[in-house]
Amino acid sequence: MDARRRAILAAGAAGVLAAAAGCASSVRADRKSRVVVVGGGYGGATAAKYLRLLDPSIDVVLVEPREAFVACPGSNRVIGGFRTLADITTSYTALERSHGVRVVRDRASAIDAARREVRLERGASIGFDRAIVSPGIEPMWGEIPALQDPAVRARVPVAWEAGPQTLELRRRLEAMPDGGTFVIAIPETPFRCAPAPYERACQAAAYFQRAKPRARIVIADANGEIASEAGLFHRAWSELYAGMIDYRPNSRAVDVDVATGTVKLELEDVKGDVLNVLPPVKAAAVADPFITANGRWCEVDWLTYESVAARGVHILGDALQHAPVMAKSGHMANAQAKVCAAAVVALLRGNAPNASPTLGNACYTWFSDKLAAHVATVHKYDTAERTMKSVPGAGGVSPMMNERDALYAEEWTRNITADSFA
Amino acid sequence: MRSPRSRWNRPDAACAETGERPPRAGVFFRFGWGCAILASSPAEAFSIELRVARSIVAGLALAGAASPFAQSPSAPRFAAPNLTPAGVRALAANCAQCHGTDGHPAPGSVLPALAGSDAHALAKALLDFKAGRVRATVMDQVAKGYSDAEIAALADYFAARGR
Repeated sequence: MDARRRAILAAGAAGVLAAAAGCASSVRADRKSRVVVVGGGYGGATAAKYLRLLDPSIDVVLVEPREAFVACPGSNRVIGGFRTLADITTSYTALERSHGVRVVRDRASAIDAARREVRLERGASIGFDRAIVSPGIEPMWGEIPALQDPAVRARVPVAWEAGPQTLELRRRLEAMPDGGTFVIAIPETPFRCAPAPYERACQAAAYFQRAKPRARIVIADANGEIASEAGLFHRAWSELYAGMIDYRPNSRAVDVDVATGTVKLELEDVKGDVLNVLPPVKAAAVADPFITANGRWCEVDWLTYESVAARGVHILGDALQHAPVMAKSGHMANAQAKVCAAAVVALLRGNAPNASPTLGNACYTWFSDKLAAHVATVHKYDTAERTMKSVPGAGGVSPMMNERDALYAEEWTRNITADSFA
Repeated sequence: MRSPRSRWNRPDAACAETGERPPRAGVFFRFGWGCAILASSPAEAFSIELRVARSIVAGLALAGAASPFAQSPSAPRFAAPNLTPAGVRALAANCAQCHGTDGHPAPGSVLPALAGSDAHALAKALLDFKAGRVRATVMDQVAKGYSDAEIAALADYFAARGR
């Protein structure tokens, strides 16, 4: 980013903060409603954009520390060497310029539901009428004790949020000798994007097949079976990558020894040249006050996404305690964000929210550089149980990995990115 | 079982997270015996038994994740469709992830623009997908999630958008 652009951004952020200085009182004094959105992933960006589409009079502030969004979908293809990080990076400028969202480059350190303000790491705070929190997930480092040390994490990149760690993992695979072993350890469900670790194995295998055909991949899975699209993954591993992938179900990683390159499982140890140990995940720490399920996830009212623990605070995305068979995916976060944005607009006007929300989801998975497949679901609101349920008979899985789905996967990426960020 | 589950991920918690009922354990035990007989040594048999036993637990968590199309124990009672302008707009937002915001695909996309469609043709296409009269990769699956009235309303909505 050039210096001029930086200066404009800095001025913009200062303006937002100045406007927010008298926050709680000034918001109400000028009668212009303010919604603060915390987190600029698929959920937060979509919520910010759709709030402005639905009601341009609302002052929408998006709090996000990163300069640009780096997508998890497609990040395994970067690890495989078929895409670059630039391909999966999207700027926030369209949200600012096309939709009038005010983006504050800072990290939210606390969300105070009682005082209705978001406090920022650099010290300022922003008052809100309603907050939408789309915090994403964070690893539970204590479950893999050695990874509590950042120095170990630098050598065993988790790469479960796309960015520098994605490149670090790629670099390590490139440096691995032919005949080496790549170990992927997968936690029990639920975690962000159920097919992702298995897709990662496919992408690494596609790379090894060309660059180091004697390499092996060991997948230590805490689950008893592949957590999504099991039939397709088994088929890919036996047909596309025969002999390369050693899949071990019911094999939960409990620790890692970076000095000896060992992943410690409950029943055995696995040695590897490159280790990718994924700890279990939970809602990111900024949402801790709103965690109500298993110490990990946030429960919400499915009509409004308002937290069951705090009035005026709405929560989206992977941080949620999900309804039955609801994916923790970017597509789902985008869909939830639109329902939430419409509900927030209704509530700010004193109207009732839509009592009949629908959520669609499609997850595309890449099995090689050319073949993909999808899982799709449609969810509607069950009035008796007050939860979202998948519509019986709707949705499905691709019968086989194929090139048509690969085309649609590219188109999905292009269009969901624009729908969320442009 | 050697591995005590931590508090946050005990089987009942996993069940609650997926919202599925546990499968009947008998099926898994018979499966487990079958595996044990196939093992080549007592040690291997023990290892497999242990893994299979663990799969009973893991199966609870997986019941939802692995088979997203399993029917719920009781038929869902869905809210009546909201076909008000705001309700249809909300419904149409579920097309945007692939077909673009308000049916305008992103520059360079080869997927059909829904905005400015002929309402009759769009409704027919969706109903054909829904009935399986036209083969597709994903739209035949997605269209089954919408009632005929919702499809008609969606077609009218997109027809009214500018190209």
